[in-house]
Amino acid sequence: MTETKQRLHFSRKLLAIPYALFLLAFVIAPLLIVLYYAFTDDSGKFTLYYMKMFFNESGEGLKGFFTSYNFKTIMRSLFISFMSTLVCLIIAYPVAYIIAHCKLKNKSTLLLLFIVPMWVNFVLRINALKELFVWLGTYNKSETWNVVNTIIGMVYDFLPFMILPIYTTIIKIDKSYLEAAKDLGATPAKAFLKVTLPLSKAGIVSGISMVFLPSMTNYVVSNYLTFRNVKIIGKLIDDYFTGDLWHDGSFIALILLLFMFLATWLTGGFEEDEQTNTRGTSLW
Amino acid sequence: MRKKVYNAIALCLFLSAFPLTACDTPIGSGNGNEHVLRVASWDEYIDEGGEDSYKEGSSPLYEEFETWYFEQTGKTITVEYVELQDNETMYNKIKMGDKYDLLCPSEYMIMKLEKEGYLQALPTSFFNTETETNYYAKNVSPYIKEVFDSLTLQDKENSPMSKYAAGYMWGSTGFVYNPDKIGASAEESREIMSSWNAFTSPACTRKITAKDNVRDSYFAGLGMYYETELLTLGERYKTGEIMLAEYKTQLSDKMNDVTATTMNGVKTKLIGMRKNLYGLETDEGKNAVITGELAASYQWSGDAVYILDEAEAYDENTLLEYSVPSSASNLWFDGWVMMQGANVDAATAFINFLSIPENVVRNMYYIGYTSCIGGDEVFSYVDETYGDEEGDATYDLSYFFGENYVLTTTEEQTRRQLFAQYPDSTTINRLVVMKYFDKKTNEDANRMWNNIK
Repeated sequence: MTETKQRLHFSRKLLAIPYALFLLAFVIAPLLIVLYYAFTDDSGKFTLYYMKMFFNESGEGLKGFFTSYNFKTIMRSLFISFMSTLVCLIIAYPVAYIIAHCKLKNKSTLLLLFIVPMWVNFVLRINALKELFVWLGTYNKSETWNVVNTIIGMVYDFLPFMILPIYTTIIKIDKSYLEAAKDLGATPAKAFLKVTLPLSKAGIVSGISMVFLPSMTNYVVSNYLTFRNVKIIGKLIDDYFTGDLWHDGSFIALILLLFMFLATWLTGGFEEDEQTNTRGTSLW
Repeated sequence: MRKKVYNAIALCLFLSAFPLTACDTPIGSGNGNEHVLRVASWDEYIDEGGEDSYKEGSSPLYEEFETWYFEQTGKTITVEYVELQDNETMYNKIKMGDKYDLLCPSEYMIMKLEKEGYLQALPTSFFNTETETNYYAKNVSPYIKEVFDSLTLQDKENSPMSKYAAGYMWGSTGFVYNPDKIGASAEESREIMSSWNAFTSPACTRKITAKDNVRDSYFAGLGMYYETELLTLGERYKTGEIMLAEYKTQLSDKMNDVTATTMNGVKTKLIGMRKNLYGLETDEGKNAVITGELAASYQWSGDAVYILDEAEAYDENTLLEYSVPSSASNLWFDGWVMMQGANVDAATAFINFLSIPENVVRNMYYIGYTSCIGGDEVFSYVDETYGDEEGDATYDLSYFFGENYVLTTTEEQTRRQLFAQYPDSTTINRLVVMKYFDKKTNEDANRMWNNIK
């Protein structure tokens, strides 16, 4: 009896091998390569030169960094990411909530409406959006408009990634909780705040990380929608790579990674929330 | 457990190394395989046949080459034609171990690849004009030949560009602009657009674009930085104070100046330029000028021809013009070079096949760029395209085709497509080849540019 159980256990482990290999080849290996390039020079010797070049481009020490171009680019990226995520959340939550609670028989059809745009190639969609801005007269009109247009583009692109996880968590919430809240005299608003919102936290967190992180690097959007006038950190890395400055580019990629870890940590992405595991995990 | 982690790390290092080593061994490359010719070039940079071809309904030229080669030599060959995005992509691929027989990089990349030992010299028999099938040697324009002979590689004596490269397409860089949308009059617009300072001119504020790459921007910055000196040099040449050779050398020295002081000066100019721009682009600018969203754009001559054609097709009243700054500008070219270990016979035959006048015309028609090949047939084609018997302007192309090749055309064409395809005989003297940046310069220039754009 125990033997069969063990055997079963063993074969399950085997199933993880393809993904483990994928992880090694496409996640861990590239990470190590980036790390290697960031801290070595052409001859392969350890160096902090590229770190110095990043923080001290102006030659005025760390004080100069806070007025430097690199710093501005990072701040701009953070701002755009933050705003895009916020707008996505403001739009996505009600949408997900309404779809999850609507009386329609076929909710998935409704959900489909928000996912269908993803079937069209995203460069095409961004180009179409550009034409729309040209028509509206806001395309490349001023610096402010460029930032606004970039945020609109990011929201357009990443909205489904926010809706889906929130929707999946909301729909999995046991209806009896809400009924219990009502029975105990909670107003609908209070029931929402005390029951639905906390229980859909996992979806929100997942949505935030699905939107915040890519919108820091998706420079195709900012390139197309602003005639390359808004530069985000992803473009900065690309510029160094195309200029054959692999070490500089790798170091900036590390800085970006740092932000990703920070963002994941702040939103609680590392927490193992047992509650969410039993009652509605995120879609991803 | 710890051992497992080590194993995992070892495995992933092994895996990450695998694709690299796999590239090192040539897969069907010229090394050893006589029946395959691997050619790396750019997107839409050869007649691909079909309806858009000059010879309607034909096959792509690289496929026709297979038949031609068999007829010539009795040997079968398969051409693997690879299209790459840009010089940097090509360089990275080669560095990672990709092998090709023939490459079509730009002038500075040829210099870089040669310096790093990736290239193999063309055989002397390739330049023998007695051999009937040496179409390149027989037809190459005397102007291109001179440029290739005078450019030295690696600063070595006896190592001219022509030893390694056979010219394919060439041209200048300059401004494509709408004369009605910049100055108060067309004349004024032309005046503004004849200087590098157009980039910082108030008349062009938020109406002009520059290229999103360090080399083109640095060159433009040099043009602005040295404007007065370059114009003075031009004057001295005109008055006969200095000879043409001296003039060219001095221009070349100025436009290849990468000393720290100059780079700082260029930086200041580029900061001013960046504030004045509508934006930076690599390809998007073409469409923006065609549709009229943009009034002016810094472009390579080949793309300029395309833009001028398309803008007219888009709106027949839009007659854009092309200008080359009056102080100095860039002479660029793409050339065929062989990689070490290439299939020499097939590679040289391929270059010669593309240099057959009929094929040259087909390529020029399809790509819209200007071929390095001269000769009667090509001249007839240019005449057929741009010539106008009743025109009021004569256009001297003897520098390119040889003596007495003069075109009768309209005055308009001397500022439009014809001028973009073949600069006139005075403009040609102020075109300068921009050499490749060595490692240190490349790093400095990139950091400088990345920190202001």
